[in-house]
Amino acid sequence: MLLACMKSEQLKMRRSNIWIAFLILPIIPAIMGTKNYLNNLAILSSEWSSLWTQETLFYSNFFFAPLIAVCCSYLWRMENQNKNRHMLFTSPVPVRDIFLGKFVSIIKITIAVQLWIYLLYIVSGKLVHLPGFPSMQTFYYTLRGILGGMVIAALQLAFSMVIRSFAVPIVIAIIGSITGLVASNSCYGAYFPYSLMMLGMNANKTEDMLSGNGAVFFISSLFYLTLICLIAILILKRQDVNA
Amino acid sequence: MRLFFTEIKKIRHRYIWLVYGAVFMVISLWIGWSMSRMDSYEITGQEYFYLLISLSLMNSIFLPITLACAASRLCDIELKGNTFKLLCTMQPRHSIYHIKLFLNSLYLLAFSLAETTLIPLLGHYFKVSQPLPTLHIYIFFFTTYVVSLVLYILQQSLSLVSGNQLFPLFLGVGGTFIGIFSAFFPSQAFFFRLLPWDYYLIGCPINMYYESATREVTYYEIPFPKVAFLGFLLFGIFIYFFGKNIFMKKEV
Repeated sequence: MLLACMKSEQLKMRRSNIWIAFLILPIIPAIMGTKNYLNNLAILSSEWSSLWTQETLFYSNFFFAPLIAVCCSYLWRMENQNKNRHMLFTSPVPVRDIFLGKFVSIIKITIAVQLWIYLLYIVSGKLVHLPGFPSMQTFYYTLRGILGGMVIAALQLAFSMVIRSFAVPIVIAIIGSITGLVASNSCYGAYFPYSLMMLGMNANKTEDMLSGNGAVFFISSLFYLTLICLIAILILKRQDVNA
Repeated sequence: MRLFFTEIKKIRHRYIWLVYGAVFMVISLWIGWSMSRMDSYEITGQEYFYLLISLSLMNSIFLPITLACAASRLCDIELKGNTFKLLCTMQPRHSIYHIKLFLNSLYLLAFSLAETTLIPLLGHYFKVSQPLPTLHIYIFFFTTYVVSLVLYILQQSLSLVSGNQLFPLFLGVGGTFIGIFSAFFPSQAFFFRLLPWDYYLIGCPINMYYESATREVTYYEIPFPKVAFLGFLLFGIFIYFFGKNIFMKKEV
């Protein structure tokens, strides 16, 4: 049944043209991050690593959460219109699969956008004639970013499910991003959901921000991921279906 | 007036004030926190300049997406309920556009006033030594209000004409992104004068110079870019007529 839910979510998103935004918007940090890198070559001397910090710093801080929040709001908006929730909940589909179907769609987008960011990073590095290719470490950061991004995506999906407004969850994402930035600069970053993406992407420093602390990051991410999904499914099961 | 009160009734439980209020709170806390962490010798005698440029930067980061959210929330009532057909039989179509614009301009006025008031309040709280630069504060208020209003017209036009709110909100996210990055480049650069989201910084009467050798920041006054701002206002007028025209022709 989960597979059927995933397929139906795919169908719902088919003509939304959401992919255009995810294709175009990451180009902005790639261009501007590269330009900023070129303007500050005297300070940013670690070549590929320095370029990585410039391209991912603001993407993971301020950009990812609102972007994925728009997507999550869109996924739930369809159910909030035209009494679609009534129809959805009277169909013989487990509530768990309804949520997970949407979550899988968001995960797919998160993975695609992270890989796109990495590709843009390599292309921009080559365009500014950086020698060779980036170390595998940056690809590892990209994968860690996916895990951190999944936590934010799950949280936003849960917010959009409970708050039946398109814009309010996005405001929450902005506030979450800022508090995440503050938390990631303290020793509690790995315990705050909105900081996990930034820590995972290692967007702030050339040396690994999680060195010696990697296990805490992974445990924290998996813990939040499980907790948020469980709470969201529980709410969905108990919530009265209002139009 | 009757239409205005009807609009107020429509947004009664939509808490649009909370969107602006939350963003204002975040900006206030952030600027207060950064002032408290700043070593006094770094900005002595330039505290108000620091506040003006920091607030302009924060506006360029937060306001594009905030305005997109406010516009979406204000316009979503009719879109979600598909009530345009009903409304257009009872009131002139342009009044729907104008009332929403007027209502949000009041929110923006309150937000801009609150932000402007924050400057002397913070100055008083942190006992700054610099005399209050009144003219610069007026310019800051003018810039914040006018730029936000133009960006709001853009967002409202998009929110009203597009069936789903994806595109307007993605544009808001893109505007926020441009706002962040424009801070890294000279605001006098021609390219950035073409981007409406950058006008929070272009209209800021203060600029800064970072001396990397001594790691010192110097804030200095710059003349208000009248020609560029006039061009921006013309862009705003064009967007207003263009957006309104498309909304008037929209099939309901």
